[in-house]
Amino acid sequence: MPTLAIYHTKGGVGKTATAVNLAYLAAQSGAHTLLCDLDPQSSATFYYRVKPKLTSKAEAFIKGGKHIEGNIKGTDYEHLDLLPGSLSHRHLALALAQVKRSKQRLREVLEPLQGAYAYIILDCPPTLTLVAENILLAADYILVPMVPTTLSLRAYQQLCAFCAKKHYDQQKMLAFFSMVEKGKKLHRDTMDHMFKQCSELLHTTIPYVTEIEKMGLMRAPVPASAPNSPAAQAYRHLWHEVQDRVQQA
Amino acid sequence: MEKGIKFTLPEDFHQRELIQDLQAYHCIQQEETFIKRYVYYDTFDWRLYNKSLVLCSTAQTLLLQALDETTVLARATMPVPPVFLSDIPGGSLQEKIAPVIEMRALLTLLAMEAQCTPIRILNNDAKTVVRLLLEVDTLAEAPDAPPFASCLWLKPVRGYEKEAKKFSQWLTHKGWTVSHEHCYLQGLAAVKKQPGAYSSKIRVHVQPTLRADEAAKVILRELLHIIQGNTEGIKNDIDTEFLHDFRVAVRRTRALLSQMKEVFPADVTARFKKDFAYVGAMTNRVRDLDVYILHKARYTALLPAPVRSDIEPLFVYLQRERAKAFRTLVRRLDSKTYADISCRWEAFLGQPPAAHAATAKASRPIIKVVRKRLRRRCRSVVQLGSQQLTETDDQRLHALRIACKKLRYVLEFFVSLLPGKKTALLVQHLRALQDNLGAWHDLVVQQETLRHFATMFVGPDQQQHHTLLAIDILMHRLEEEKQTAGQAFPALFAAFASRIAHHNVV
Repeated sequence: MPTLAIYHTKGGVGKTATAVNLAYLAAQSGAHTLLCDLDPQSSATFYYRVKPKLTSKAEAFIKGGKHIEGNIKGTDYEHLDLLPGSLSHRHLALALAQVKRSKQRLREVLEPLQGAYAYIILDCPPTLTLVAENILLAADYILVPMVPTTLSLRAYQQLCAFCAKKHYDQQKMLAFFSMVEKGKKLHRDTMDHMFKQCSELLHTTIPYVTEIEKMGLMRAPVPASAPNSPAAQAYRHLWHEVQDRVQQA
Repeated sequence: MEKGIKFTLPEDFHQRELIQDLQAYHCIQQEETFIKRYVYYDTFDWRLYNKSLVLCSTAQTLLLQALDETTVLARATMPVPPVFLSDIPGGSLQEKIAPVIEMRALLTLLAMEAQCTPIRILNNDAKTVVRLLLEVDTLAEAPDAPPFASCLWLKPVRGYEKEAKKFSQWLTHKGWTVSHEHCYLQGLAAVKKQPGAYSSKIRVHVQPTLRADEAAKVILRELLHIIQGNTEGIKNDIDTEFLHDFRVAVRRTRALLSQMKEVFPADVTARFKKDFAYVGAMTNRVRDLDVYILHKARYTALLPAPVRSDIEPLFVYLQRERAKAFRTLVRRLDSKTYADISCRWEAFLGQPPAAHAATAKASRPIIKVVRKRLRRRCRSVVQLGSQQLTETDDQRLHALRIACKKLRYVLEFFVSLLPGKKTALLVQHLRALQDNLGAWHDLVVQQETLRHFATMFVGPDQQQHHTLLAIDILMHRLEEEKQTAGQAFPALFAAFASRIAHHNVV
């Protein structure tokens, strides 16, 4: 079953919001889903009202097995479990550098969980370290949220160049526009330009709206707290589009 | 919501009071109540229940569960209620139930509505730490009637097992008990259905000292019960096994009348043997055709792939013939002749035992009569089998098959009088021998009948010619199978004869 990473080298592009909402939608379809919070900020963990593990160590995380399975928590929602984030994840790159097959370690750690879950969704930190290489190898699909701004696009191009240089499969990159303000001409022009340039971009765009910002207040995914909102609709469209791509493969 | 630990609620429970009680001690979040409709299925002879399986449909999903209710073994999407195995989409569920239900139809045994109210127990962060499901079950046909079962499901949330344990203890302290009874069983009790109530097997216990005529009547009454129980199923043409069980019960009745010579007056025995010979004969044609139609897949697989479709006209013909024969059978089951036979038989079985026995053997203890019959039947099988070892002959094999059948019937009728382990071993060897002889006999009959069917396809038509060729290939394949069955006979007979020689069962 597929592992989906929500990843970008740039911060503040809506990775955690995407991970939290897509994990919820996957679980709502009846598929057993695990959301792994790999970000030391543990925002996804916070959104799901789970207390982050403060005592665990990055070394223990990359050992996998009981160190992972013992930490998984059920969420407020059926079929959705969470592997909480930890402040110690900031040391993941260092810990990975100490072990053999350092680039495959995340894939090996997640492998025993594949049988129990239909989807594993990774909420990734904005980094281009060994952690990023682990993510690029472990995930079957990399969802890349991009704000339609120059810097965000530049970061995406850098990521693509990095993947090409390292011979990572670029076919699994599924980029889409996030935090879109259609009232801004810059956003509209940038998207028009990118859709013309890159046919492989996902068509769904996630708007920059209050409901998504309110997730921190509600501590719940948007489709659960505001099911009829445009943001919830947008995430539903995104999830369907992702599922279509997964099924086509 | 997947289910977890089930707590039975007291009969006088009120949902509002329960929720108030929960609120007084815990921070809870009650969710919207929803209704789930469940329809439960099993075969007429409870094949799924006998294997501790439960098959139900809910919201276009077919679920196969273990009778302990917590385990879903397999599921399949099913927009319409299933009747036969072929109606169920291929996959794990179909594979699991195929060897259990075989050709039997699935009957709707219970339709119920579960009124479900999810409740979550929250911690200080308003995070769900325990999931509950309050379930109130009513019969779908009587939704306004009082519920037949109410329960509270407790499902621990992963990573919060301590909280679930604590809550479970709280419920136990309140006097609520953990239950393992499936609501399906509670529902069946509510509609007054007894799971496992029907079986085509003889399940009566006879006292060794009981008068022979009374003991025989106990078993004959059980057989009559089976005959009557299957009649409606035959008339409604639900599946082929109603007729099969009916015929077996009729055959057993005739066999018991034959085996209990001089237990009943000779004229009575002769009269009823004739009656049941008539009843058996009126079902022959439909059953013969059923057997061919049931074997369609096997016959087709025996043919080389390029000619498989050529056999199809034969099955079209068989279906047409079956429809005709079935109409005749139903007419006969509704006839005065059959009603008279049934009345006579019921009246005879209902008669109280006469103070003065009508025959010499009638008042003898049944154990003595049975022992004598068993000795004679065993001797007969060994003699006929030994002759068969020296010279193989279709007629003699048939006679041996009948002798085995008679012995098996006596063993089954009076199993409660015989030593358990020894009898079980003897039956095991006898069954293996019977399977072999049965396969041989079936192949002989199938070849003969196919030869007859072939005459229906003689003609100038090209398709008829192809069908004839396919039948010819099929007959060759059946001959090969017959030879294989013949080769296996000596070893199976030797094993059975040695069991007779070394263990004095009777």
